[in-house]
Parts: sequence; C-alpha cells; structure tokens
Amino acid sequence: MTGPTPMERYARRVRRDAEIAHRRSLVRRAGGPLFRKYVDVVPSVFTAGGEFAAYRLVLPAREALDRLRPRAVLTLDSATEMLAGFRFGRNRNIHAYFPSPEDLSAIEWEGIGERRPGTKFPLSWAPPGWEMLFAVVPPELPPHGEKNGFRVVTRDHLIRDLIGFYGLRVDLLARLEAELPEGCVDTP
Amino acid sequence: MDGGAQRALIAELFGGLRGTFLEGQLILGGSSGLFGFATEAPAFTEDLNFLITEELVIARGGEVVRLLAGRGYVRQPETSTFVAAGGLGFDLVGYSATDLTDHLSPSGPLQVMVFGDLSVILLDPGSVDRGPGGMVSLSPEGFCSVKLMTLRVEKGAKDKLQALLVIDERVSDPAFRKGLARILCRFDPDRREDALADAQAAFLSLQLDPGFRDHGAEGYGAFLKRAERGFQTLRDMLREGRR
Repeated sequence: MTGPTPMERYARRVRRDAEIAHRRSLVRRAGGPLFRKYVDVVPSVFTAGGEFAAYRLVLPAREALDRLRPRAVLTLDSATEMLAGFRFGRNRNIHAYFPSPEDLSAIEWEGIGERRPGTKFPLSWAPPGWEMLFAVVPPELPPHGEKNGFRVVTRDHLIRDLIGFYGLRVDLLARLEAELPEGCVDTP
Repeated sequence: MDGGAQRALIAELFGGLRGTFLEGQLILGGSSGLFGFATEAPAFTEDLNFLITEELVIARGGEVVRLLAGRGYVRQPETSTFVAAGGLGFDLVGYSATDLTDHLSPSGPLQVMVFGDLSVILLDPGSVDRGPGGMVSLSPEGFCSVKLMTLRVEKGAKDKLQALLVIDERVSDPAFRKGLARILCRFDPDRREDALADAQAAFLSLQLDPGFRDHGAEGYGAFLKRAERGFQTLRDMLREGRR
C-alpha cells in the first residue's frame, strides 16, 4: 500500500490549518458583540515599550504601594484592583510605569524591593512566597488619571495593556464591560 | 539576507519565459511577492512562489514541466517545487477562476495546490501588476490581501506582519487604500473580522517577544512601531467598510 503523495500531504496540512482557523473563529464569535468591539483595540504590551525591571518586594505589597504612590502609574491587575476591586489574573504582583530610571534606582535605595537579574522575569509568576513589582520606564508615561490618591492609567490604556497581557479573551472582555465603567479613572 | 539571489532568479525566470506560452502566465507571489514592488518590508524567505491558473496546469501541465526543465529548473519528484542551478527553489501555487475552494488540481504531469482565497483575490484586476521585462507580480494591495487572508498556522504571524508593514508604508496612497478595501470586500464580514483579529494577534506576538522567534519571522522586532501603525490603518479601513 502506498502512502500519501507529497502533494496530498500538503493538501492535508492546508485543510488542517483551515480547520484550526475555523475553530479559532468560532471561539472568537462566542464573544459576540464584545469580540467586535474589542478587535479594534491596538494592544499594548507593558514590557515592550521601555526599560523593564523586576523587583522582589521586601515590604508587604500594600505598604510598598503606598511608598510608590508619588511616582508609580499603576496598570494591569494593580489598576483593575484599584479601580474596581478585581484582579483578572491570579498573581498578586504590582505592575506600574515610572517616569524615570532614577525611580527604578529609588526602589532599591528606599528598601521597597530588591532587583532581580535579567529582563525576562515571568510576569505572571513568582516563586512561592514572593511578591513582585514589575516596573517599566517608557519614553513617555501613558495617559493616566487618579483614583483614591493613586495614579492609574486611563481606562482606554488599561484595556490596551490588559489585551496586550492576556490576549483577546472573552472572559476578560466580559469582565471589563461589567466591572470597569467609563469614567472609572479621574482624569485632569 | 538581501534578496539579491532571489531577485536574480526572478529576473532570469521571467526573462527566460519571454516568447513562450508561459509569458505573462506566472505571477510572483507568497512572501517573495515583496520582491515585486518597492518596499522596505523584509521578505525573510529563500523560496519563491509563482502563482499559476489551475486551468493552465490541467491543459498544459506537461508542457510547463518540460519548458521549465529546458530552462534548467529541476522538478522535485511528485511536487510543484522546482530547483534552479544555484540551489534556490520556487513553488508553483494554484488559483482558479471557476473553483474558489482549497483543493488539489487533478493528478497529471503537474499537480498544484489551489487556494480558494487566492482565487478570490486574483479575480480582482487590481491584485496584479504587470511590470517591465515580462514580470508579473502581486500588486501591493493584492499582496496585503493574500497575506491577511492566508490561513496558516506555521508562519501565520509573519504573513500578517508583512501585510501590516506594507500597509504602513502606503498609508497615504489613496489608490492603495481603495484597492485593498475593494479586494477585502470580496470576503464576507466575518472573514474580514478574523483577518483583523489575526493581525492583532500577530502584532501582539511581536510585542510579547521583541526577539520574535515565531518560526519564519525572526527579526521583525525592529518593526514594532510600523506594525502598530499598519494595524491602526487596517482597523480604520475595515471600520469604514462596515459603515
């Protein structure tokens, strides 16, 4: 018995790719109007646009957050927690933008966190018992406002960051719609 | 990879086919379509693709193989791949004016894989440019349409990023925007939305991994900003199309 010819194998691969694309399309459409609304968003990846540094917090997260308050612009789960009391991911880490590299140095001088080597620290994981601060110094701070005395990225930018971090997930989009209303950040 | 060897092979092939029944019948496509018009978007490919109608393959497949063999291109057995003397290769890829599905052309002296989406795109006269020296290639709008609509798992992100980079380069060319919008409107709205979502995912993968190690697309990290602008332009074009 002869096996498939090279062209038949090629055709199978094409068919398999089309089936995968079809399944992906159906999953997207499970999001209905939410998919249509958010497919227009230009995703932003927190770490991609500037100098990135990871710190192991040496203070409890709440206290660290208070100490960072004058400089940090919160984003991702730190922002959703501040704005609407929920974190989409399971991690307890702090994600924030800072205006200058000096702010990163200050994190260590002020005894808030201990810098971890490398620039590829996994953002959604930390060794058991560790709490992390993930900091980025972008060329220009993203648009931001205030909530409860903390600086937080605007809702639009937060959505870009969240989709950039978690992807265009229907469960994320549903949560954003339900719990993150327009005007949730006070902008100047 | 500056594409010098590929460009030489393209010129040699089109030049060698002048005056034969294949003159004007092969269209430079795939990632190598980037060698067909002015662009800074890198092809990052060694292999060339030439598009050919299924109807011609059925009617004159044996003659195509013999003609190419006579020009020194050795056909890999049982495939539509041909290899030139220097080791560079090219594939013949099928499209059809009558059968707009993915399928293999009938068995014969030459068999090609025929792509339905490619066939839909090539029905639009603006999808192809005919240049000097007998060269026929996908136009920039034809190239972008093919790359946006191509469904392939491996190297899929590379396809979308190439399209986004070309779109960004031609953002202020109204004829390009109009032509691309017209071709994309040949597909139903769901397919256009999927294309946008795939482009978004590709752009995201570029941002998540600036080294961009997605197979076949290494090196695109330097193009992050341009890809972002390309995505915004595509989004705005499709948004206009929805109104």
